[in-house]
Amino acid sequence: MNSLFEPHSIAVIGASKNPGKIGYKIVENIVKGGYKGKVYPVNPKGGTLLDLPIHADLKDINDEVDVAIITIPADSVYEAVCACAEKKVKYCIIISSGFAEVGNREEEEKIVAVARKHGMRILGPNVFGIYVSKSQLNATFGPQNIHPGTIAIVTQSGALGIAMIGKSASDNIGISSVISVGNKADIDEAWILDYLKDDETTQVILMYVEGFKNGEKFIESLKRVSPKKHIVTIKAGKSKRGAIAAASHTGSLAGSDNVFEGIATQLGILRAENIREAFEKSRFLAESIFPTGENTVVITNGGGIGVMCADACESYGVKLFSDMNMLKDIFEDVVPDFGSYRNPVDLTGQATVEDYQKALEKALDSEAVHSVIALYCETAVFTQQDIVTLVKEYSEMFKKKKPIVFSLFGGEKIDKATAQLQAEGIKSFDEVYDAVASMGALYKRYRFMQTEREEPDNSLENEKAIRKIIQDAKKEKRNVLLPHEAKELLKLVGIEIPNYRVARNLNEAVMYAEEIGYPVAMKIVSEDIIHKTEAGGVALDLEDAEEVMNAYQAIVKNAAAHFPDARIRGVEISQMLAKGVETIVGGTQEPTFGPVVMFGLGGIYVEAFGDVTFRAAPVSQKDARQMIEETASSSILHGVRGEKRRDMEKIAETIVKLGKLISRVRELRDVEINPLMVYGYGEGVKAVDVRILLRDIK
Amino acid sequence: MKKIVVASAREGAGKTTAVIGIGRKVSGKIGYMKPFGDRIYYHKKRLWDYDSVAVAKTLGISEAPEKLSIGFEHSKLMYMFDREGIAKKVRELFEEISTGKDMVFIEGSKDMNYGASVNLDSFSVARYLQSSMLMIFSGKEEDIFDDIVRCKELAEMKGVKIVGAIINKVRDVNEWKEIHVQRVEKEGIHVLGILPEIKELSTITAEFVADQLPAKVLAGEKGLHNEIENIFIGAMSVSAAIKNPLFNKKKKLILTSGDRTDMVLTALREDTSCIVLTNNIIPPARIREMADEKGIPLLLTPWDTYTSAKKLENIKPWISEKNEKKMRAVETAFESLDTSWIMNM
Repeated sequence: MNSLFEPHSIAVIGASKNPGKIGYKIVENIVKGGYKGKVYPVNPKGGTLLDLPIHADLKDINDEVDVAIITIPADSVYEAVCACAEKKVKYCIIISSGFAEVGNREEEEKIVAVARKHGMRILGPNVFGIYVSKSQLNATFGPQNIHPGTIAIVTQSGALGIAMIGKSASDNIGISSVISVGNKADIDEAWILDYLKDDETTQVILMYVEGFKNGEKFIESLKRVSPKKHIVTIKAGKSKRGAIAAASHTGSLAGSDNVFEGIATQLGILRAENIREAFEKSRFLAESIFPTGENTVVITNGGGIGVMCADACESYGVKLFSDMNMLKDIFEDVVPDFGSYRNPVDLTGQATVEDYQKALEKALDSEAVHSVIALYCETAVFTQQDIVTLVKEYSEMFKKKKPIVFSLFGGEKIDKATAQLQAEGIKSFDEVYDAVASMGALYKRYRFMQTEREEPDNSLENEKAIRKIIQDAKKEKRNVLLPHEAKELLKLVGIEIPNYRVARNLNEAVMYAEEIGYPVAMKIVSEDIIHKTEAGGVALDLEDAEEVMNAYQAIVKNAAAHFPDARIRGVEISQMLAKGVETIVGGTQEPTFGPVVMFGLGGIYVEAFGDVTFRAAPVSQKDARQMIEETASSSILHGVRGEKRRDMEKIAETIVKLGKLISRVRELRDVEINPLMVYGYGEGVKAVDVRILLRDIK
Repeated sequence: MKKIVVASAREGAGKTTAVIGIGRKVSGKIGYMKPFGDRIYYHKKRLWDYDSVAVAKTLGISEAPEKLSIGFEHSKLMYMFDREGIAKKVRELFEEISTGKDMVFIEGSKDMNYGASVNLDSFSVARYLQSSMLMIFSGKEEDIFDDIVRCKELAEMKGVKIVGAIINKVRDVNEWKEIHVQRVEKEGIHVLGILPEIKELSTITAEFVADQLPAKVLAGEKGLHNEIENIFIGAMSVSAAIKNPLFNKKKKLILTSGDRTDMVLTALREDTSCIVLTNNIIPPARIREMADEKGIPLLLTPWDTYTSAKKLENIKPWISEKNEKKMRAVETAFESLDTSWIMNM
């Protein structure tokens, strides 16, 4: 049992008799909410509050205190926290603001330090409190009429959290708990998630997050929770990390939202664009039974809305049941001659309540149908009550058997029916896309739960030799590996690279070219020249000694002309590879989420197309395959217009290897293979070019 | 057939200009070679000297430009030839290009020492071909005097004859004639001509900047021939920039970061020759469209503003056959030059 969520006793420090104060509101909410434990208002002025005696000092309470809620001004909070520590309070909820959120980090750190010293935990500061349905505890200064249910809300924003409680009440949505995390000085989302994972009253966790203090810890926590509870997130702050300063494609494409999107897919987390969508998805997940398969049937009385629904199904990954023989068997008897039993099952505009009932019953009874989307366009045939009764009855009938969503579209009659249903706690949608989005969310979770998870292997071969290369570069105060160092490192990781040598003069250049075999590519080796192509430092497809000599002279001359101060280490001569599909595989230490890997269509158009996907590293072979399939360009890898299928297994292996590297060797900041040339199935991949940046040397 | 090695003590003295200027004055079929190429142009795996192209096109030379040089880099020459080998190669090249010609110009390496370690300095080349030398000098008076003495010594050491010198890019021609010529003659070098600085040659075009930086032309291609006489670095606010007299000058190049939309827009409304955008940041489409309409090239570089400014500063104007204005200026400048000495060679 956790004392924060199920406390025996609560002290409210800063309790006030003034109904306009937070110190009053919190005590009032606790008392009126029906909390069964002890409540101790604390205020030096003393007296009584809502029939409770006010203690002048925490020390005066002759009982153990599990939770202390602090509502006094920021400059007195430290003293209060010290008193709580002395009293052996287990949790302090600091409602007061005026700490890190306004730059007063020092005070916040001081408070956390004293709490840690005494084994006390802090929620906040800058929070609106906590609501726990199973404890009948409403220790917030938000609304009172919260409906108990199975959705837990975890929010970083206080104001939004209070508004969300209000919305849940007006929409009749059941809540298991609401926790505001505020500045996250001590307790953060990860800690709360770990609690909610085992909380029997919670089925869905709805999170509003703006940023993470420790993204890696959060990911670890999500990994544990996601297989047990549905998680729906609204993540604000989608703007990209400064692409301008980023030294690699991976860095510039790794806007935290891109990365979060990838991680959400990896961990089966659902995302919502806005609060309405988040509530709708959460509610549907909380109230609906899990499907047993992916055959969805759409039942409609309008062809147009049926087509729209089919489009929405495609967008949200809901699979329409398409076995015509079976559809005919199931629905032929209930569809009029001029209707259609093909999916969407069109009952036509003349469909009556009975027609809908028959069709829904058929869908419910058929083992081949796993879920239903019922659409209704307003017609004269139905009364308002007919609609309400139909939705109510069949929601109830389906409840324990199959998922169903209703989308009702029309005028006043429909609006009134929807309001009536809502008052009775039954959800129906007006917009067909919203209805399908919720069904799609359920199927995303279904697929995630169906997929056997593969633990990524985090062992790294040749780690010592890899670290030696990095150490050597650091000794020279470089934060970039030279091309030959980077290639050696890839070799050590087990990623195939073309043959290459570094020539220090023209004799060597010609000699190495002959050794490697024509055609060859040449590139200047210098840590001081970053944009090598633009600086005339690259020559490709050289077919004989004369072309190598021309290229060598041009490269060396260009380097001297454009970068007279650059340290030139030589000219790299490498095997010119046959053309394949150019992909990009990168790894970076993302500032928020830690090590991540990226895959996408490579070459020079990487940033223009931005067809890339991310995952938290390390990744399993299965994760890596999923990454490849997720990109728009996966169709190219599957082979277009008679081209053969490409070696996707080897791409996945490369992603896995890079994932191990970036997660094990944290000194690496960016590792980017671009292009990773992909050949036909069984013919492998080759890392044509690699750039490795190290974390800045302090 | 007459031949002459055109050499200089320092880089950028005006050898190529002299070859073009004199070449256009003399009659007969002209040949040209530049054994040690310098200003390289690498395209489609071929390598040639930029000056060679200018000379070849101007003087109607039919040989492919890559055939006019032996090498561009010490390492190649070292790799390919020993002392005997290089002399042989120079002579072979000369044989090839001089066939059927009335006069052959052999342009020396960039300065008096360049190529010495691979036996391809201007004096060695003159010796291999038993050719006289025409020296082109420019710069401060004291430097020129020093260079003259040293070149004379080198020529004597190599056993070659200097037919005379052209003092180039002179600010005050009369002062030279009245005061300095005597001193040069006293050193045993005959002054064949004193030429003033050709202002037209010191301008560069947007296209040349794009080529030399190098930069990608994003828009405004029709203004690539715009001439540049001033460079303004737009690192400050627009309100501060417009108060700067340099910003209000004509024929200017503006250097600014690609995300400085305000600066670019203001520059597009001014008399601007071209805008160099740094940091690889491409401005919005409406700006590119405006640059197209106005014919002001937008040149994109991957480097930061500081690096781009340094690289801009290092761009030295080259002569180009494409620039008719420059060619006419060269012709005019060389009109007064007495070339009768050629007949006496």
